[in-house]
Amino acid sequence: MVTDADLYRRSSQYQKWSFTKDQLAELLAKPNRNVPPHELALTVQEEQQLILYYAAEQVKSVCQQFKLPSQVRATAISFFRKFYMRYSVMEYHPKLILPTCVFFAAKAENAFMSITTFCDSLAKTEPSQILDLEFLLFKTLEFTATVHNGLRPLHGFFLDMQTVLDTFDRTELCSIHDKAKSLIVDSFVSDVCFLYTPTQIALAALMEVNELAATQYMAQSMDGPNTSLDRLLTLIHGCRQQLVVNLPSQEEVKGISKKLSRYYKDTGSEGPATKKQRTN
Amino acid sequence: MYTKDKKVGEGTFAIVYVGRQAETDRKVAVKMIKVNEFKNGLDMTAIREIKFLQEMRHPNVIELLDVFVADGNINLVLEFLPSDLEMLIRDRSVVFSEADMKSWLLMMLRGVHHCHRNFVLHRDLKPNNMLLAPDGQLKIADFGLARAMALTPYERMTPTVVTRWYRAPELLMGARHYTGAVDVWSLGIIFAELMLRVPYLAGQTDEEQLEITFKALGTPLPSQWKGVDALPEYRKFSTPRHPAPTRQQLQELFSAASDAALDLMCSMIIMDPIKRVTTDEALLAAYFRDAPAPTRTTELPKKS
Amino acid sequence: MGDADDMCPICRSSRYLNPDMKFLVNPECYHKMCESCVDRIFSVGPAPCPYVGCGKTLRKGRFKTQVFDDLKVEREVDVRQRIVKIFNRREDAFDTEAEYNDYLEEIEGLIFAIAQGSAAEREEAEQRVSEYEKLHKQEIIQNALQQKQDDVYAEEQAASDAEHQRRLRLLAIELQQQEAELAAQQEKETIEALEAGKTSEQAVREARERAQLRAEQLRQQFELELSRPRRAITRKGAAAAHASAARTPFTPFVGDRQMEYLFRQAEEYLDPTMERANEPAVRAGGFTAALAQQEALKLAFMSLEVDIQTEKATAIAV
Repeated sequence: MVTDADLYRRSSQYQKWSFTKDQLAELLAKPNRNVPPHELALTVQEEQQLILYYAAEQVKSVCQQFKLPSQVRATAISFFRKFYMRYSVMEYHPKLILPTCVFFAAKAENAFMSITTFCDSLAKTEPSQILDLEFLLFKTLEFTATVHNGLRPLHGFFLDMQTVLDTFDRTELCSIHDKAKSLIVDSFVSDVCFLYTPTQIALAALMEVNELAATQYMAQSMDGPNTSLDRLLTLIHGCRQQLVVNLPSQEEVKGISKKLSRYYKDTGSEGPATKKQRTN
Repeated sequence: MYTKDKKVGEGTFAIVYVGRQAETDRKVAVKMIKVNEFKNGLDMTAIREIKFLQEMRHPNVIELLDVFVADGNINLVLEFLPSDLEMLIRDRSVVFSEADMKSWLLMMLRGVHHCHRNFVLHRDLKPNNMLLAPDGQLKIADFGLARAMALTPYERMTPTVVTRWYRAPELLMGARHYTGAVDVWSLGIIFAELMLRVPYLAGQTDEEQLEITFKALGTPLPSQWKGVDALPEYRKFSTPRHPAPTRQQLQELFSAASDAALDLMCSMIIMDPIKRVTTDEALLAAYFRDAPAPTRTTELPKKS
Repeated sequence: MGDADDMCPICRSSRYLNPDMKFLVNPECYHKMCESCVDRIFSVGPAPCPYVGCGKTLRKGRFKTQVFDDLKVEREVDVRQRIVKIFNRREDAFDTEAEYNDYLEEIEGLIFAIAQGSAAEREEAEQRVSEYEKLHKQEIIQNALQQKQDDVYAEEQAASDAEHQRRLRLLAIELQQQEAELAAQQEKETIEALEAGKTSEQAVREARERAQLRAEQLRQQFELELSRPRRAITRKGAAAAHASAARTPFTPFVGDRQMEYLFRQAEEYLDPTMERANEPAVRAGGFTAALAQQEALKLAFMSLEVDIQTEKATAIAV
């Protein structure tokens, strides 16, 4: 039998982009280690902070600028983070990788925008800069461009809760649904998208917004002969713990950015645009 | 890693070569995506094809073995499938038995069913895209027009998809919110073509296609197909009103079809997409349970 | 033929008196006698052969007309018919031509032994035949069935061909007739045109154009008839017999299906995203809130049971 769960296991997200906590930690630290030592080099911590900031704030602002749907934002963040699981910010500056991720995510999610429209609204960005990096991005993604997020599962739960839960009225559920939506898109900045499945992330988001509703709902609909409610609850709680990330402060980010600029200047790379692409 | 030996086909977006995988000496097809001077970077068709093929693994869906870059071009490495259903249909020296047609339709339905389970619409099903492996397995190919199903009515999709002759009426009339039913329609038309050995509804232009469809299957009325009169292109073709064919007439045209075959085909080409069967329902049709059993894949006819 | 055919050795009636006299033989001993003798002697039941020195018990039902002059040949043909019914494996059941030829030789050997061999050789051969028959009972029946299907199929195919030829012939005749009519018509029109005052060139030209148009239409019709797909003869019976031979039970989905869901879909929900679903153009395209909601519900539960932390722990570290 190929169950729905088996179908998910065949997805590239499960096959190539899902890890244990330890495996993920290793992957995130590796790019930094691969950069030759230099006095101005960023530490692993600094690098992670910068990536986090860009993933959260910069993606959001670019997406808002073009009024792109949440789906695109979630995918863009996913692409961004995956890129830096392979390269360091000291090899490719996030200033250009970021818009590339948004541009490519828009294509992947059928929200295509012409490159000229895109670059016209972005400061100091030339179409050629983005297009030069687009291919590298796709390659770094191992040519996978499908990102499953928790938004649609969330919607399904929202519907099902209307029939299963009688202690909450529909308007309350609507509000819960809306709050959980933004949590899910933001959660792509955290590690949960690599450690848990979209269903589980959706449930974790619900749990974070209204623990009572989520617990009651799970107890009603996921406690049967074939499912272990306890095990599921433990899993969901674990996911919930990691859902929200503490972002670095503006000062911290400023400091790290300056350091990165000095690194680039000092190592002689004139800027990310001229960095040779690694093909093969 | 891969060598391109000989060019075997060319389309608007790609050139297909037959080649070999160096390590295993396995025969493969290498689809080189043309760098179309696409001012906007990577071609959408290529992205779609790669994106969707990476997500599915099914005996009746073509397998993407690898993706590599050469001279700045993206190359998709696919299983090598030497023939397709169109070639067989056109080869009049090959006789199709009922069991043969049943076997092909079954494989096509299984493949499309798998796509739909993954919430993917293929949007370009036609005999030309039904590739045949040497062992007889049928594999759906060419996901260049595929996309994820729209789960809300806010996602509008383009109606200019699917090769004209296999395009569902709702698409011909400009619908922007459609479902897997468009794929089922295509399969129904392919089924008809298997039986007739010529394309069933062959229009020369998009306009003519709708006319031919209505002539053959009757002009739909708003009373039968709710909302059809709200589709952009309906008005133009709502008159003259063609009557729907009787069962008798269809039986005459599809003279070799059994009752069960005709039942299934008709259910797949119902005008109103909501009434059209889903892949699930089609797979459960009596046609597949009745004798004769579908021909074993290894015994299916091959091109001469 | 000689006198042997003019007089029955048992009752001595002559052909002169019974012009319709017919002779029969029994494969047991191939002793010939006239039809009335067979009737008279064996109608009541099995009886010994009336030929002096034979005495074999004969049955009325086994009497048949002699086909060949030479009794030896008659005997061999009978044996052959019987043996081939038992040793009926088809050529395609053999992997190589050599094996098939060996099989055929074996059969010939048996036939020869039974038809023309000594008593001992005959008995040994008959023994082998009955052993083989017992051993391959099922296969014999299958092969016979298959042969029958093939015969039927060939017959139908021949009939279809004949029918097709007949149709073509009729069409050709019809075409000829119509062309003759057209010629006559053309002449008539020319004359009319001339009478109406048109110049002869004009009249001829116009008439010819019209005739050409009609001829073209006729030709197209003819072509259409020709290209009409013929009813495909299906090997229904053969296919069915083949199919029933040990197959796993048929499952249309081959396991590609989620059998049960943890949710039950309600008739309607409060769903702000589905506001537009009621617009006629949206509905006409096939999109319904119910369908979209069902998909959302399926997606909700799809990856519930996938425990990445456990499942990936056994995977090789990246």
